[in-house]
Amino acid sequence: MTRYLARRLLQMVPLVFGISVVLFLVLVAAPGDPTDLLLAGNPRVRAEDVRLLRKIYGLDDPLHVRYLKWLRAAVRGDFGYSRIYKVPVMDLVAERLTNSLSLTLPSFLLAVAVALPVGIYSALHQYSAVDYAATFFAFFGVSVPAFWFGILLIYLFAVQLRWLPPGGFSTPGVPEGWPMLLDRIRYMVLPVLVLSFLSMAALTRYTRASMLEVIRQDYIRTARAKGLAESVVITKHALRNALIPIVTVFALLIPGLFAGAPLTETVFSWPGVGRLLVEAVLGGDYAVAQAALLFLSILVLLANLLADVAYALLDPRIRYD
Amino acid sequence: MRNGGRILTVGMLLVLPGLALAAPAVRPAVAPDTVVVGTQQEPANIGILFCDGCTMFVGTMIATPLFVPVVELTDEWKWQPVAVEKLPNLKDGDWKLLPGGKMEVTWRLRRGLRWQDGRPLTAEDFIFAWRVNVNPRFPSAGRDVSERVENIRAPDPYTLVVQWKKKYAFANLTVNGVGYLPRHLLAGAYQRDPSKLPQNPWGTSEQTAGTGPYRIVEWRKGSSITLERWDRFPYEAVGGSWRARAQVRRLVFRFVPDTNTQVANVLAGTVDVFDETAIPFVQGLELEKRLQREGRLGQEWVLRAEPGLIWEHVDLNVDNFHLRDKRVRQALVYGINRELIVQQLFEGKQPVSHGPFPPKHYGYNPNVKKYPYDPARARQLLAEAGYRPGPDGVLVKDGQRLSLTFMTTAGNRTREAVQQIVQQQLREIGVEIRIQNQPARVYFGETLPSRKFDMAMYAWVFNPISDCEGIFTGDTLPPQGQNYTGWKNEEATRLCHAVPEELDEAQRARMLRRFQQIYAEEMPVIPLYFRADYVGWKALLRNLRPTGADSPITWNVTNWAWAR
Repeated sequence: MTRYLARRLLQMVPLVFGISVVLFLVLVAAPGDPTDLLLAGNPRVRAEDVRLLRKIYGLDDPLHVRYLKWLRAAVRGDFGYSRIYKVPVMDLVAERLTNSLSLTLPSFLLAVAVALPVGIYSALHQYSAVDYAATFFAFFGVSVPAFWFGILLIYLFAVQLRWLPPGGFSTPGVPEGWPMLLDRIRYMVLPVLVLSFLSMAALTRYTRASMLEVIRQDYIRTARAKGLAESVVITKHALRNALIPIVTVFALLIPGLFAGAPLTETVFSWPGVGRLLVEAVLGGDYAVAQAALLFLSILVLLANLLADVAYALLDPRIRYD
Repeated sequence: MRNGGRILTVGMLLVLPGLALAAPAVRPAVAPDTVVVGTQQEPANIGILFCDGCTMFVGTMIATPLFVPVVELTDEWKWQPVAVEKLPNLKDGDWKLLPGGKMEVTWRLRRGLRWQDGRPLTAEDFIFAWRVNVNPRFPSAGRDVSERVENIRAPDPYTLVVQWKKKYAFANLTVNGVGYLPRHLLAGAYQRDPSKLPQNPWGTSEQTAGTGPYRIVEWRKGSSITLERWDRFPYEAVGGSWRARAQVRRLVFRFVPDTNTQVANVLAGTVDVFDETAIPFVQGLELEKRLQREGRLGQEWVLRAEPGLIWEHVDLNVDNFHLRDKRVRQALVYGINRELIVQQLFEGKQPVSHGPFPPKHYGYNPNVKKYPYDPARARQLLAEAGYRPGPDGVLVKDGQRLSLTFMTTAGNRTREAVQQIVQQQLREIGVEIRIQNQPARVYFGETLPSRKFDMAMYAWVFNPISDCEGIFTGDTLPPQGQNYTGWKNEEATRLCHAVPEELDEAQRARMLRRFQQIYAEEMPVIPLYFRADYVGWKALLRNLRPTGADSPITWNVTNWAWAR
């Protein structure tokens, strides 16, 4: 297992390198460059000002020179400065990541906490009222767009009922400590609700489907036939097997936690990494886009590895050597 | 089950509007000593106003309470001295013409102004800012005015003598084309690397010491900036509206990127003010109607949409086979019912324009050739130009169909709506319009500078002293300038280059009026309308006076006050 892990991690090195080349080329291939938007609608900007800016940013260097410059700095851990925010990229990404995690992690946990029991119950009581209700909400959750659902919640809870703030991050002037924490939670409720509702829907369906498949297997019938208690049949025999595909789904959801949620973060004015990424791409802030995307790619690779390892732990038939 | 779902969803939607339980938002959003301003974008840098890529407008709005201005533009478009004793003028002799077209302008700074770290604000800070801005290694996006200055001297810490290389009409409104910077804080960093100056903590963090009646206390990147009243500000030492002691203790600028969420913030009362960038015009119109319907307009919220200096228009590429003929260009303008467009889309609140300058501009000419909707006249002009109907109804000349591509920024709903009306109306005079839109970056970055368009809709953002040099002069086609239409007229070019050097305002206005006459006759554009942007504030908040010009809503922030 250790050798397997070492081999997989080593394989990631050339892969990450390749990804960085592709990312760089894709970002550079996008039409226009960061100085373009300067010109838009501003009659005072002169052509020579733009030329000077291009020189200062090194935009006129050949592609490979620009890439090597970036790579040389990146291996030292220096990802440059954000052109939009004027701060080091790593500081910016780290701060936004913390903000995103404070939304995505609670919503993931909430989603799992609801989806697993509901999915299992639905499967065991197929076509019951609860199953229908769960299926309805699951389809609703899968179908509604995040931004629409977000606006709906804002309208209901912020505009009409005024229970919660309509987006934002904190109330200015709230003293630090408990009041600030409580204040932050008030701002988190709606976006967490939107995010968890959306992933809850899919997770419920996966759990239900996986569980349904397992409980029809012969070994479950055998377990029941040999007189085991129903709770033991479900938890020991059915659930453990049903979990195998579900764990993969969970593991693959992990990079998503770090990717943030661009739409939800935008609707709720939450300064997360998803929104940052969108702003960076639209605003031509290459240093930020490149660093954030590379970081997310590494997370996807790690999550895949994690899923494979989890397989082995759950399924005794799978062994890595 | 499917039906059940549908009924449930419809039911939910029906119940929602009925839930208006809460009291109206007539209170301050946070506290009676705080004003929360909702805006769309976060500025990159609030210290160096002319840095690259600064979301300039928002930057100025937040910087204004932090930095006492040299002069201010009031809501009546009058210039008043603030940090200086007076505006120089030719009569008093502090603005002198020198041989060879050079000039010398003398400014006297008011005494008693300080940086918030205690150091006095002196002439050296102006000289330093100017040196920075003309340094080619500093990423400035606006050095055109600064480069007209030859040298600046400071005979004493409160006197500035500015030598201009050539005449500049507005040398009494700006000391050096850039303002001032804290030399004592930035000189070291500047020496090390001028290109990194916009990344200095001064300007990008809470460490931005200012000179104004407010100081920055918190900057949450991506969320908000909080300013607090600086009680050591020398009110008695300044002029203009800045003499009034600030009443609001705390100002919060909250960044709300999504415009629907911004509207929700207004309806819920969680912002007290929103600026020009916060809510697009069409959504503002809907918001206004809704507040009216609910009886909240005027009671709770005051909304204003002043047509300003943003000119929406369609550039016509005069190098196009069809568009190089003046008669075709004129026919296009006659063929579009612009009055109908502004009535249908904006309820008339964004007025039709007949040229680049709005009526409030000092050089505005009301007596230019106008092009009311007249399809018959349009057809006649096209016939005179040699066009005959082709087999599919589209006009043809020399075997070429009168078919034009019409571009604008993709995803801009208002512009797309205008395009469709234009397309339909021009079809009736036999002109085929092919709509082909692009993302803003491609459009402004490649298409316009390379002039690869027939018709291109966008806006120019002017200010009260804007003139016609650079975009209407025949020797400033890209890459030399931003004359995207490619229109070249000798007299207009001469006039437009001369305007910034004419010191007599009346004469300058005459030149601009003549330019507008030529422009209206030649019509290298389709003038559409002047944009109005909504600004709003809670009715309880007093003394907000939007200027409709490029100065931000915070220009008189020390006058703002909550009604008791």
